[in-house]
Amino acid sequence: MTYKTFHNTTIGELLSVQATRFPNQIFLRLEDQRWTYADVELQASSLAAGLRELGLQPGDRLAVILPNIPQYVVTIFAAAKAGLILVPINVRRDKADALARFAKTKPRALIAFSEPKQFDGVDHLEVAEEMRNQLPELEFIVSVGASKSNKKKSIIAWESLLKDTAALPPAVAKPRDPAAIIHSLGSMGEPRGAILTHGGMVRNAAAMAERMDCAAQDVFLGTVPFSNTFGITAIMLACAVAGAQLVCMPHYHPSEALRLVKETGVTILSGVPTMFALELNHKDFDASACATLRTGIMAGAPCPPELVRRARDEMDFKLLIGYGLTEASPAVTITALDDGPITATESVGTPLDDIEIKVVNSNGETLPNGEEGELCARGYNVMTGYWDDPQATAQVLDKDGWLRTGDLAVIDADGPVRIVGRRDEVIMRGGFKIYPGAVEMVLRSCPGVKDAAVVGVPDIIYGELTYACIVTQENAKLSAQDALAFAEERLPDYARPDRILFFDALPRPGGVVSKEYLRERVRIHGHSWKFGKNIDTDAIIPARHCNTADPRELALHCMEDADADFVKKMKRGDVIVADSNFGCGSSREVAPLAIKAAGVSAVVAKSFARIFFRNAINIGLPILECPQAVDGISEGDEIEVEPAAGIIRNLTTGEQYQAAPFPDFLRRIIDVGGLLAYAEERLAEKSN
Amino acid sequence: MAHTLAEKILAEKCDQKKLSPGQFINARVDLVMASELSGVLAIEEFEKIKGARVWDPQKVVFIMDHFTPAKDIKSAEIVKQCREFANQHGIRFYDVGRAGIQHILLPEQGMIVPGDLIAGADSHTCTHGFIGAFGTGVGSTDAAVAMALGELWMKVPESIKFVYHGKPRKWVRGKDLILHTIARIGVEGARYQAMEFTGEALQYLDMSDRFSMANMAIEAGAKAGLFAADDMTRAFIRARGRQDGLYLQSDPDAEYANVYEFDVTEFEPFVAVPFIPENVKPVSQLGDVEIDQAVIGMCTNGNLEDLRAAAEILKGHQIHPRVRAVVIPGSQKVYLDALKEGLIEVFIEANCSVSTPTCGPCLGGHMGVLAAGEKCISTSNRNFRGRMGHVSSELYLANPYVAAASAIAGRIISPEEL
Repeated sequence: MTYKTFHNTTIGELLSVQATRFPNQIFLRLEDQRWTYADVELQASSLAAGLRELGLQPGDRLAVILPNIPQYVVTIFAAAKAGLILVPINVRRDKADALARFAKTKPRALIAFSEPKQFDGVDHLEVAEEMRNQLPELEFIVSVGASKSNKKKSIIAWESLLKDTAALPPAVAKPRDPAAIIHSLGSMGEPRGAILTHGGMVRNAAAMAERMDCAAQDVFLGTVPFSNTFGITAIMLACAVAGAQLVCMPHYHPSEALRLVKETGVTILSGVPTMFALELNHKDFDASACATLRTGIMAGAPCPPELVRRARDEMDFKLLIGYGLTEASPAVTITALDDGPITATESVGTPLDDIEIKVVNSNGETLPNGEEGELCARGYNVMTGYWDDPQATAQVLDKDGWLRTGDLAVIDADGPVRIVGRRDEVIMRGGFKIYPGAVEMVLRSCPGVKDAAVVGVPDIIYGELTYACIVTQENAKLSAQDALAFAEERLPDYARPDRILFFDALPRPGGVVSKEYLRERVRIHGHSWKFGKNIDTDAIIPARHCNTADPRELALHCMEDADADFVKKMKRGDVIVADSNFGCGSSREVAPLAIKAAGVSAVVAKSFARIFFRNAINIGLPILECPQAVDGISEGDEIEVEPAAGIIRNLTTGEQYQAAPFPDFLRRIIDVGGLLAYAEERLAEKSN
Repeated sequence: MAHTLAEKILAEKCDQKKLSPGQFINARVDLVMASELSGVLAIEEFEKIKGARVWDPQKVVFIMDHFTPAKDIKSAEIVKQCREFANQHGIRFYDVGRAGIQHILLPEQGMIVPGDLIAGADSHTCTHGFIGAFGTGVGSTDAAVAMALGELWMKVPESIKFVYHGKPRKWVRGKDLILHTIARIGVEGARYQAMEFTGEALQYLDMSDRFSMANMAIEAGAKAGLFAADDMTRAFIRARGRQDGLYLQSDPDAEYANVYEFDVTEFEPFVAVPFIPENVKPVSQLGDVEIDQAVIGMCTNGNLEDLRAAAEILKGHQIHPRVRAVVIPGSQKVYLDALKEGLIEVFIEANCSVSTPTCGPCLGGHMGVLAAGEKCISTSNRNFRGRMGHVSSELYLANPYVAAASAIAGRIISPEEL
């Protein structure tokens, strides 16, 4: 099946065409409720009219913070019809995350909802109101569904915006106009808003529907949030292109997904690898209940071949693997229904029609097939740039329209692409390149392993060493030797982890493993700074700053001032060796802030139980309590520290020290990334 | 297994029968306290915890005392932030005119009893050991997590025992005992240890003396400074409307990291000279130190008994023409009681300024900040460089008798010299 009609069209036109072709076909389902294509077309046009009547103009940004509910789909089409640019934000993001995404996009209106029970007590409408005070451009807050906040005059009810469609001005958007700004994260974790066009998104959706051979009788399951490109393009728009049904899933849960597959006859099941792993491992998993499944896409993270094979076998369907990125609307390559077993499980397939790819070396020169380099993509689907960020745009998009993906890949001679890792994460060990993702995939398939992350840490001889951080499944008895033996059978010798360390949990702020934090947990290499008495802000902050009422100001002064000169000389990886009384008294908030800002990676102290150190753990400093090390280290000595193992080596003298082991709960606090993350876990446990 | 007082309190808070120094515990707290200075940071941290609510609004208290009444716009805004947070979460909130310095206010309002574990986002939270409660200063992140979970993790400290023998002479108070003790062991002498104060000399001292001693335990680096609650404590607590509490004592054979014995009969008032509280000299050996300012009160010596001591000296005198004196009662109640007793009249007639309760000058905030080169005698607890103002100003720590006598003389003297 090809969908040529949709190769050059807008999101609004897509719906209008389908509402004419299949007016009575069901488009959206939520439990017992049904919306036909005609229903959605009417509601979207009505909402578009209402939004325009508010005074919103084409090109204005419309932010959306909603779960995967039918009103979200209506809103997406309404924004398109009104010429507004959609700025979707994941419902799991907190206020700070949302504000960071609105700083440049400056939305004039925000559509949100109130369902605190589902979101740890967070009322998104209250948050929206708070944000309005900080965002002068944000004029309108629209609430979906009934709630107590809804009664406030300052909040507009979604239903009240459904106006007579006669009031809707004719469509203004063209296929090359921006339809949405969807955020990805830069190398420093900063959000960047990729501008995606109507034509790019719809055609990308059509291309995926073509690969999956979708038709009107298909039933899609809305697993992935519509706030990201996978959810909006590969699921929602692909479904619309096929004129198929979309079963809405406001809150993803594996048992709920399995129930809906069984009860609604889902044919297209897509998701990130974790979703498939959760579904396959769930106690409710029943292969016979997946009988209706036909195909779907696994994407969004490296897809372990063993997991793809399991899903294809146990769910008995032709699961495809996709590769893409937000900046490409998102799909670049995808496997095909008739791929052989190796291509289908170990590659990301071939590029979609009219999307070009190439692999380049670090000088930007194109490499022949079979050689490994950074994957670049060009085509209708590539973003026009990052919103209000020409610098970031120039880093990834060249003048010829090539998008640098940051992913390292090999294009095999016969066409399929294999992704080998992230450019920024490659470990260089003794001249060999090691891809953490590849090693992690192997370790995750090791029996007894629940989670794994691999990081490179500095080493004098090899340049870098490979450290594997493993979380075991409950009651699993897995030794480091077992894990190494498993890895040795499956990895080339140079890629085997140098060391296996066991963790209670991996730090996942915002859901992604923080490798920077982990790196500092496993190995640090630098010089020592030795301090005796009274390393305290009372010593390093001159008195003229002491009468500020704002402790944060003190931390800044601490960095600026000549008295704190030592703070400026420290380098990342350096270690403070504290003889005593480190940061006592009033400075307990300030000293760690300043020291962390200076980049110091660890503190070895006679007694780490001083009040301030706990804050330090919280900001990521691994602290070790080791009186012998303190006595045996002189200022300037070259030091190597393995905080997670409690090992301190003085490379200048050749001495090695073992710090006291942490008790379980403390280890957990450190492993999860600090006291606040720990509190969050504990609160979640309590509410369960 | 024999336990010290500190170990017994902590064992109660984590339901352990046995507890040894060095053990890590996650303990239930009875109260979490913050001022505006630490509160604003605690709020920031608290709000980072997704889904966090205050675990028990009755057990979380914010007391606005450091830069209040707001000394500038920034302090006003920080207090405002704390006020809004308190309203939102329904926690106990003490503002200007209804408050006092946190360590004086908590026991005065009957908010704590012996055996309590108090996590205070202020280093002088160790003060509450004066009634036999384990008070300890915590960082704002700890305070935030304690607000959310009602728990505080810590390492069980070793204990050091201090035994005071003999009857102190007139003009010698708890402040002198603790200054002498810090001089003996140094500002690191009790690092991460619990100081336990005992001995028959205590019977000649009152609760305000215990207050000053426990208050300055942190100046020796201690995690807590404790007195076993006794009949004097019971009377104090009952007068504040509380009948409950855990009246615990160390076991006779409990193990201490160290035991120090002092004969206080020969003590004279002591003064800590710049720039560290362990630089302590007997007032008679100080030489000629002219002063520009005297500050009496605040937390360390801001109880009614302390103001009585100062008034006893100042009555019928006027302070030296060159000297400014600032009297800071520890709370609104202390202020009112002092007014009813006629103490405030004595201060004003002596040309002292009397301030509303605040930490103010103690940390160089406001209400008596020093200019370059100025010298000040103060009943506060820290004399670090620049603590009360300019980096070249000097601060001398002493008891209220000495501070008042020095204000009259214009130089630091013993009350005996008057």
